[in-house]
Amino acid sequence: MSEGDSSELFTAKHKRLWRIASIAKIFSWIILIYYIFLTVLSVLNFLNISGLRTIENVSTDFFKEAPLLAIQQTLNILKTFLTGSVFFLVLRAITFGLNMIIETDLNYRGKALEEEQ
Amino acid sequence: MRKDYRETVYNTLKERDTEELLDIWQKNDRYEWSDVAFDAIKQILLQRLGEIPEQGEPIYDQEELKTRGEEKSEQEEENEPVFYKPRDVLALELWLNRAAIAMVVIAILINLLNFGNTRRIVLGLFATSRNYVILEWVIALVLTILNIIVGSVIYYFSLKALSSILKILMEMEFNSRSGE
Repeated sequence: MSEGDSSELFTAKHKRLWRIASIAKIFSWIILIYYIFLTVLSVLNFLNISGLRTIENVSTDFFKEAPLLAIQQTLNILKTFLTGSVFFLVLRAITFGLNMIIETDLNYRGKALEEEQ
Repeated sequence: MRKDYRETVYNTLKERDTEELLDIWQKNDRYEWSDVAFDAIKQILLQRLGEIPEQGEPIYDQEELKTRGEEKSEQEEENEPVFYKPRDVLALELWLNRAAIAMVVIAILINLLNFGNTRRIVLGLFATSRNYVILEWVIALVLTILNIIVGSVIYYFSLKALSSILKILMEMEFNSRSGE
């Protein structure tokens, strides 16, 4: 379907779907940035904890002193990032899905219009 | 020697992006790419995407390539989707599948590491008696396994379903195009 044809057949319903898709797209990026920010904060927090332990002479290496806790913290950081990524992917999928529905409907309407003519 | 050559071709093509390989596969330019290369591309795409799209008619000489390119670009321009890029959708599908696997791995690891906490919770249930140590362990283990299964299933199937929905929608859109 060419751009000219699609603009002629673009109805209010398509516009509504397209608007939702655009909002989902914008939100996907906001959420990704937010979760990256959260991940960076978690990493800084983790580094602070291990740094404090070094200052207090508790340990020189957090991973050696409390390996399970350190691995748990690392996994939680990873989970935060992955959760953000999943939200981003889901919102992107919603964007693409809605856009494909619009495209499909416009294609059928275009075909019907061609046949009429 | 032949096996070495195949391996070299495979390893070289493996370095390329999925999109690039899809492009080569669909163009089906036999003038530029050998049969060995196409075999390798097929294998790589199957590994990465789980399935491969249909190939175009094979091109055997440069003249044909030129003519086909002109014909195709006109037809493609006419049918090109306005609201999305098919390549972006394919890339998203790939990432959804990867994310599904990554979430399962994370769910397993986090729940295994939380086994101690789960056991402490179960320990609270039998605080008055110390005769049920084995039962405590069994309940904690069952709860951990259930946690892993529920967490993994929710993420894995949701993401896989989303990936399949995208694939189906793209196919529906493709079928709705005029002249397809």
